[in-house]
Amino acid sequence: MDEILLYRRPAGRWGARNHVLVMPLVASASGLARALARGTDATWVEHDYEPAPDDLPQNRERIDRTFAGFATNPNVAAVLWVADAPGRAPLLAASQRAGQRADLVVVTEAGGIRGALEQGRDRLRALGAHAAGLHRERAPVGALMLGTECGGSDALSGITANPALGEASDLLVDAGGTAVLAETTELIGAEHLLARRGVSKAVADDVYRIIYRYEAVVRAHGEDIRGANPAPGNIEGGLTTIEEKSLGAAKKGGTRPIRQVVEYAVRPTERGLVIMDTPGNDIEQMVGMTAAGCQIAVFTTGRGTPTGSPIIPVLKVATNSHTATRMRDNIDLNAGLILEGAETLQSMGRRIYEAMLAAAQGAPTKAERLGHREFSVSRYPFAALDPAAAPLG
Amino acid sequence: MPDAVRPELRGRGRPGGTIGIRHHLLVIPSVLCAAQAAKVIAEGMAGAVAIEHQHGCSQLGGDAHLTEQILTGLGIHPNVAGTLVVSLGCETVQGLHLFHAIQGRGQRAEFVGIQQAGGTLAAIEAGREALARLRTATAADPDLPMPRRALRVGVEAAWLALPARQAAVFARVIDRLLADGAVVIQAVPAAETPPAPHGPPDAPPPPLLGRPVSWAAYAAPIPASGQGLFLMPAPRTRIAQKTGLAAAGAQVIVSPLVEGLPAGSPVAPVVHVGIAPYARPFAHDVEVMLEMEPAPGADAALLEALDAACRDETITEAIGMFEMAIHRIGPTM
Repeated sequence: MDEILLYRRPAGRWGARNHVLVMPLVASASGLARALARGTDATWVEHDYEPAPDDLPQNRERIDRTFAGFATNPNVAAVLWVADAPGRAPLLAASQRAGQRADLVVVTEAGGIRGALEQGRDRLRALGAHAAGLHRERAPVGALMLGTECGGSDALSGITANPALGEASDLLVDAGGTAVLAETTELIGAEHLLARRGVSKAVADDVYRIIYRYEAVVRAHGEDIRGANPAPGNIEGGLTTIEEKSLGAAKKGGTRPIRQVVEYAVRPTERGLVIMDTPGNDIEQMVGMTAAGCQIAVFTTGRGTPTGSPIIPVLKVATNSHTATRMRDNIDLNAGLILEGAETLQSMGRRIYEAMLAAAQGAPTKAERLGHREFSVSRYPFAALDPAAAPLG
Repeated sequence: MPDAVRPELRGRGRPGGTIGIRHHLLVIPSVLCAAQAAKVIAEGMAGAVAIEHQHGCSQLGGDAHLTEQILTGLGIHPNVAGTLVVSLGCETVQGLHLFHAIQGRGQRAEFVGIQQAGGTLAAIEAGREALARLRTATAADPDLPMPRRALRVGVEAAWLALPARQAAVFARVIDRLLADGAVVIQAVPAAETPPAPHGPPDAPPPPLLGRPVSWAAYAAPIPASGQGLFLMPAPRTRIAQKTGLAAAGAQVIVSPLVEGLPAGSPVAPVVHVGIAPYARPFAHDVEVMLEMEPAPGADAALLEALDAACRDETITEAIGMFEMAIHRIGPTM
């Protein structure tokens, strides 16, 4: 299948969903965003980021980039920003410059909370009417950007679900699409294998650089990465070391050349397989890949992680039949069948790829059915390292 | 006015001897991955409140410890009649450990694990049953008089930097609360960024209001024997201050609104004091407005607003707005 049905967006992008999003610019507007979305078809985000005067510029920039990228993800037909004060309006302009249908409610200008609720509902109605007029059209499969993720990993992650997802990544890349491999802390120990696949020395150097940078920042905080990773559930699931976890995690990216390494929440300029520097934290990683423009994600899990996204469909692939059966409310596909001989890595990869195309065209995922819409703001993690932590060139 | 002539306030007595001004059943996800299940569980039950936070996994030592301390503090809060911990199962802040910490401090508590129960829907069903058990167990908490000496009031830091005449209103109100025997927990800007989470600074606390003061560590529960005025070094952000004050056990929080938006807190009602000129657009969203030249009745109005928050819903509670932020020390892994 070379063509699928997606929503046409500005600048040649294509969306798998047609969401109207209510997005608070500060934590204290989260409750208002929720109240505005309540009783409508709109989706919304809640977060705990409250700007402080002593905020690092790098932190501010990372978070603005995340918010702007998230709000202009192609799955979003229109966005309503909610701000406390007029000074936060630049993100409205940024989203409009990106061609996004967007509006803003500033609480201090709307006459307080009640005024903002009234004004916000009116503006949300107008944005909803715009979205309702849009329909799916034929689009190339290569328009898709896939976010790959693993969470609640166990000893089978690297044997069944992750390599099967790698097969699906390869299929998408071969069809002209983009696959994103991320969670830098879970690539520690696999850097030499990934760097070897870089299309240039610069890409190979970037692979080493983001991994060494994360290791260095953990040391700079006087901590050991092994205190948080592998997590208690990973260990119970049979993983012994971060290196073992990483060798399995890296398999999600398949086997194609690595075209580019990008910073957190930055949209790749290359198609094909790319690496994004994100924390291993499942939610922060998902938000970063979504802010970069991924319209869909496939998430492998050994222990059974239920999380989703406010704006993109997330398919869950279990690494083992026990979890797939036990958590069937949450799991879309069972890669444990590979272990039982009922599927091969290739056939399972094809199944994941087809499920991804179906979900991109509107089939709801389990996480969507259950209303999962987790979101978390990722802070600039490298302050302890500066100036060595200069961004990628 | 003295307790004798104020309209009597009433609260609910807890097994540990504290008195709550709310009768919440609190649903705590031990990790963000469990927040959706926690929310749906709480939606099915009157009086239940689910908190939503973005932590509990892939945190390094200090942050994981702080998250657990805050969630424990909220779980044993006097305004909380019973606590249900909803866990995923594989997270850094282990839900079962959190449950034992809350139960071990004398709180009525229940536990549901999503992976253990067999998925989100099964966990929701088990969680609703657990909440029903908690509601039954807590129904007999006695209705008691609530004198000021049973009250712990958390105060955000912003008033300390106000012009003298506005600040004086806060100073007099705090003085009055202390004279009536209440405990006041005053957030103060942390001397360092980020604040030390594990204990109070070594230096003696500065004098405030001419009264003796004690240090309190950020978000650490004030012991039952605690008396008088506590200073709590806290992060600058107002929501993280509220979370820290609530985790310390403040039944009600005073929030001077000098920036940002009014914001509630999941377990402790928040009395917003709109500070002119900034807060004038929020005149209808705050309990009390404090003009640049405070009116003669300003002290009484603030004290009455505190009493009213003990009796009735605050404005943010009525709108259903409560936010939650846990301070972060290091980066997330």
